[in-house]
Amino acid sequence: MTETTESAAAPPQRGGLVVRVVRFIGWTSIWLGLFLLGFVAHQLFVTTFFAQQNNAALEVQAEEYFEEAEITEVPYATPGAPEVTDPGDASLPTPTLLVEGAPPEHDAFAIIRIPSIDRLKDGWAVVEGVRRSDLKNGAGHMPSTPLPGQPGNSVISGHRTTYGAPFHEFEELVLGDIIEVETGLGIHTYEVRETIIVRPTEIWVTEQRQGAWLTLTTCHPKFSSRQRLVVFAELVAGPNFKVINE
Amino acid sequence: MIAKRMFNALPGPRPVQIVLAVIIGIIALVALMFVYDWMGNNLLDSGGTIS
Repeated sequence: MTETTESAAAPPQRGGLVVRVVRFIGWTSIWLGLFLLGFVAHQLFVTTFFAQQNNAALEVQAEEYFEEAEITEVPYATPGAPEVTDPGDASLPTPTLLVEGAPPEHDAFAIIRIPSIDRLKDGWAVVEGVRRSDLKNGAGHMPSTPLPGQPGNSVISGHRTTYGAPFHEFEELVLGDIIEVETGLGIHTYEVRETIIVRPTEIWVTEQRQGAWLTLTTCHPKFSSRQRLVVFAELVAGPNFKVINE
Repeated sequence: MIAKRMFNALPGPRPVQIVLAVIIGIIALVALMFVYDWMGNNLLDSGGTIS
């Protein structure tokens, strides 16, 4: 009886090399698991929490920008249209395009809304720039492309799975879906014309196009930055629609 | 167990050890967030830019 008690109370024996290796693998797995669990929680919840807070502030900033945006009228000739030889001729009025000044880099200047996508029904602020820090709080407009509502191809990028994931449900977009972008000029309405999947280096998707287009880009597939899902949409209404399409 | 051993290894009396532990904890947390951010941008979602 006494022997049994002593045996049970004895400290566990230290194992040999095999036991130490197994113990090391076990602890490493536990720490690695905790690290990965923290990573997933950070990416899915922490980044989204802060992005939503910051985006709400950016929407307010965009609305303030709408009030103070510098808007000018410039003569506009549709590519391919006959040239006006006598600008003084009142019978041939030169169409004018409404143009807003370049927004300050990294500041919010627009709000994108997509009624068919729950996450973007109420809007998401768009900032000027596509640096990593720009995209943490809003969608980013590529500065080398025209502003939304202008002729050419305006390019906006956004996160798919982290930082609020504004473009999370882009695979649900179908041809004809409406995309609205509000800027200092007013609301520009686009209609989805095409969605494609490309490599991240396929820069041709940002090239200029005839008419007024909006190109939205995001990561594809979800939870991977291996490819890009690209949505091409054409301007169908807005302050400059008639001038550009005359 | 390991944390307690590391805490006891910190220099100084108990209040200094607590302050040091908090500072080290904050630095470790910031470093961890930085690593998570880098991993997220390179593995999960880079923001969808074309370049």
